[in-house]
Amino acid sequence: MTGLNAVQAFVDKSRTLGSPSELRGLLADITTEMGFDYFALIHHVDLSGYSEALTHMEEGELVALGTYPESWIERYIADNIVANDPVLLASQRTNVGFCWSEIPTLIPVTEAHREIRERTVKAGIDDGYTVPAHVPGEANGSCNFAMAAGRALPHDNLKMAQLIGGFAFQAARAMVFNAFPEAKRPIKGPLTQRQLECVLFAARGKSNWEIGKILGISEGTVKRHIEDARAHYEVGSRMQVVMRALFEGQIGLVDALR
Amino acid sequence: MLRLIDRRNIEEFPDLVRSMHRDRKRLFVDIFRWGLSHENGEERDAFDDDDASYLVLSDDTDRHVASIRFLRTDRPHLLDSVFPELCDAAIPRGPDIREITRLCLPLRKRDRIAARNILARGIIDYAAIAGVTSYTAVCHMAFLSELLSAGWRCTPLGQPESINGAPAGAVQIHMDDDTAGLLAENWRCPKAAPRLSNHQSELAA
Repeated sequence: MTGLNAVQAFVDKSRTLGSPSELRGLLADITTEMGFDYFALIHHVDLSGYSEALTHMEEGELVALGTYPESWIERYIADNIVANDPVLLASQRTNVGFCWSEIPTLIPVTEAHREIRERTVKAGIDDGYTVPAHVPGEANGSCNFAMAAGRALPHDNLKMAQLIGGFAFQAARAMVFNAFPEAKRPIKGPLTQRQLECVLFAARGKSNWEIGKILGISEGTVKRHIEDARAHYEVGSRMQVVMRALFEGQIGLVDALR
Repeated sequence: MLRLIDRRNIEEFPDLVRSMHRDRKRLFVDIFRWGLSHENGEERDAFDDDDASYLVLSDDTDRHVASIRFLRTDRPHLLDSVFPELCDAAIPRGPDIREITRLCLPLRKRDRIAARNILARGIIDYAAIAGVTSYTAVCHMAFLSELLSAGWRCTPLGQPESINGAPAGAVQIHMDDDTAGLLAENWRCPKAAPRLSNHQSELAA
């Protein structure tokens, strides 16, 4: 089968799947066919809702499915590596597929990133190719194809992987949104610059008083900005404002955690 | 207002058409740095001829806001004349297939999404009016996730190749009976948003 036929067959089938586990099976097959060992299809958000049974997808929470070694997925979630994973940070800096060897050209690599990289390798995942999936108004996502330790990337199939990654993410996204229509949260549009600054510092755990000191405005003004942001998103709490701003891509996890 | 402009009515809108070519130059040449020919601040190419039609969104002063260009696929068009390497199999052609090119949207994010959605509805309406069953397009891989997020049925026509240093691929967007219903919530327009009018429909048909 030529590359394109395989992609077209994948695209056709991906529109008729009944469950996330069927998508996982379909994507696992084509991952192997392309010459990769593992894949992970994820939204770049807090993954603590992830369950091996993929109920988080059936309940319309987030896209997260893959074939990475289960022990690594557990550690990855428990240690919240998603927030500082150099692969995902790099994928937020580009719109097109990249090999993990190109990461230093996309982001400044820190000691913490090197440590995550070492742990990934120890877990049996060596090289990889990542296809970013950015949809305006939604959390960033990506489709990651990875190699077992010591195995080289199938360079001839990276173009095909780029297409598969894009279509696979859409299939997963559609599944999540269709499963739970309320997940199709309408885009509320951007916050004002000042509201955004306040929400960003709130995401970092700062109090209104502290934010006021940092921005050189009064505590009351900070309170009003956050109150306005809360009203804008029609949510009840300060934490939900932060989550919505993250979800809509108004602030990145990196910004929130710095 | 959303209009279909083609050889039959293009003379009626000289200012609007000129403002479209000016915005195209600004977006594609000045910002995207595509190596396109332009003159007097207007971008136009050999395909902007008598057989091209345009879906043009304009503001209250009838100035260009956003547009796309439809090319017939039974005549020379971009996929067959400029980027044939993007199709691995036969290039889809026929009277019921149009090629979408020169998607020109506003730069501000909020305006961009609103205009994108109005054009998307226009594309679907035009298909129904003019008997178009599918569109072909060259899509930058950077835009693929967004294009697919609309929910309409898309199929790839070939492996992506580098064009001006950025990977791009040919896609086919199918206009099925259920396409309008498949459209994702955040691709829909408010009821009052501009739409192809009946008069325009007669023109297209």
